Amino acid sequence: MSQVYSIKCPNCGAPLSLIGGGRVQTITCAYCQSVIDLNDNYKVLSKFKNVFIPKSPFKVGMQGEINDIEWTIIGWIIYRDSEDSSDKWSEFLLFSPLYGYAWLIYEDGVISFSRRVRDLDLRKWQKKHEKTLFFRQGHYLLDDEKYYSVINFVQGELNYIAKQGDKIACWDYNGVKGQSISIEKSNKELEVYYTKKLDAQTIYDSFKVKKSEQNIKEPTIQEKFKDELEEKKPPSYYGIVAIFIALLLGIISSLSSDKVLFQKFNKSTESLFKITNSTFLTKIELNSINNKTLNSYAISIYQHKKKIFYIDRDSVYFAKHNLDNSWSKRAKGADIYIKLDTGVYIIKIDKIATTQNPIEITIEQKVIRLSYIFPLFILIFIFLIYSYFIHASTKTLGIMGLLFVLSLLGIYTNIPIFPIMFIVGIYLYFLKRSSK
Amino acid sequence: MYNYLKKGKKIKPLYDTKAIKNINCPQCGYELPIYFRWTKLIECPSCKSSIFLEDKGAKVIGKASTLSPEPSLVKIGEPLIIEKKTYMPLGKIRYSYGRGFWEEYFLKGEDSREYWLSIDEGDFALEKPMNIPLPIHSFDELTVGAEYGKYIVTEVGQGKCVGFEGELPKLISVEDRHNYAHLSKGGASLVTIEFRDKDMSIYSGEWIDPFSISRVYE
Repeated sequence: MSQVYSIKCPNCGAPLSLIGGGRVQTITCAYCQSVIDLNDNYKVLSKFKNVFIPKSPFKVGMQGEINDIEWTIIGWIIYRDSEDSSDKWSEFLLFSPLYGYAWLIYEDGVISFSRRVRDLDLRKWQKKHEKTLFFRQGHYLLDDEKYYSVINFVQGELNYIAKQGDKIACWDYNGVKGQSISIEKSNKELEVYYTKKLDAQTIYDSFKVKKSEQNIKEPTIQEKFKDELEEKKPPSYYGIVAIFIALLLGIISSLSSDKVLFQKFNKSTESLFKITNSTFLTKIELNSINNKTLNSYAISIYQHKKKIFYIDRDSVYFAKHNLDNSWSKRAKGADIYIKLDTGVYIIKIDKIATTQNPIEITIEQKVIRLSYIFPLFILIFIFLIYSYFIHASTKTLGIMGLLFVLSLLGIYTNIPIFPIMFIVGIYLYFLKRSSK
Repeated sequence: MYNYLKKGKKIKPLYDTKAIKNINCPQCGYELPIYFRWTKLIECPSCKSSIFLEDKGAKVIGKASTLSPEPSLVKIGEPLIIEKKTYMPLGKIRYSYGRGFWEEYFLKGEDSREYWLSIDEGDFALEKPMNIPLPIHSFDELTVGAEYGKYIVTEVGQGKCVGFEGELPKLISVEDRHNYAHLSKGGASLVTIEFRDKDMSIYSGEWIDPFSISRVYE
């Protein structure tokens, strides 16, 4: 838990601020490089001498957000490879009052975030030193043989006592998507760190690093290739997308309706037609040469001697539910969509006014109104495109797929609750994402 | 106490938040709801008295020290989700280790049992009391690296109680000191042994990733 207080360097008297919480053990004076023990009356433990301090975009005291959590840089260590003294990198100790300590690692324009983890079975690892590790459902491969990192320079606060030349044995295991596991063994401890590469520009912006000090390493061809490989969606994603597309094609193919009647009438008469498929709607299309002709006919449909449908220029009736007004007086044609069950029907044409012109009647079964389903298509495509870019989980896509199937079922069976459920599902999904 | 209920959110609580009983503070009369069956100690938020709950009633045993507010992921009265399970923080104890301190939150689990969430600057451990005999007789015999069967001693230390809040299933006083040891058998597993005078308490659980903790009501 953090308390900010100030001390004076016991060696040179420079003012030093302590901001890193109660677990900080040492502070290294930025002016004289004395390492001061905070647990033993500010005793000077050692001094870092004749060290060339490389330029770094980050400095002790900077603050910024990493993955929506605010961190303060409280300490800085520069390591070098024991075999190759030109191979150097910086590790900045971060502190958050809520989340404790973590590391920001900087090496030639590559920035990573590292945290100690405890859920790797170190006792098992110590027995075998295997070349492959499985950690939190991820697979990691030993990058190289063991190497030693040597402390070259320290500034600010640290939660352990670091001295110039301290050697740490390291085993780095690389995973996918810039993730790695480092096992570090010092004289006192054996620790595991989980590290993830960060977007350098985002971190520079968040820590307010000057443009002139920003350094972003362009990925090599090999790294680009690796990134592209890793960006590939898992097969399960494509499986779900394939199901979506197959279902969409299914709908489109079912749009092909069947004509059950196509006839011209110029007198009062009756005709039989048969509905063999009650999926979707039945469309009754009326066409004539002019509005006067259309207004001269009345159409009725009977089943089992019972009138179930009637329309003329003034009124419309349907046994199942109320329909809106009839066609307008100026219309010379009309499209009527009603839901008819399978069975044999009689269509009765009555001439209610004098005309010599015929009326053309087409009856189609299995007709889907695009105005009903088109918004659903748009919604599905938006969701698919969006989920691709924001990497929606397979589980989410699976649930959406199920809801989509239900919505199709709803359209086929004329039960509106299923399409509504699908739309509400997508709405809740976006609501949840936007609240994160 | 339960702020999230006062916000008037019309959501069904995932957690049973009903008080088991209510008592009145023997010092100031303030009504104190009790949420855990085995609560022994409660701090009166009104007069800051420490109240010991006996079978026959409640009595004031002293004053609890006021804890300075510190940022924390956990708040008393605001339920948490850890590894898909819900816990209700009912109380906390703050221990000092010299330059800093750590806090131990008493949680009531979904099974209405006692759990403890220890928070020490980014290190989170969730444990529950275990009633098992151990082949250990005293704190003095425990040293870092010593092995007991599959377990290895990873840390030993001492804490001093600097204050507490809320309700607790054990009796504790400000300035109480205790020794502790952490044992591990690898991975995130953890056993903690606490030594108070001649009393030894054992807790077992796991280290928790703080990023995996979420609140039920944001």
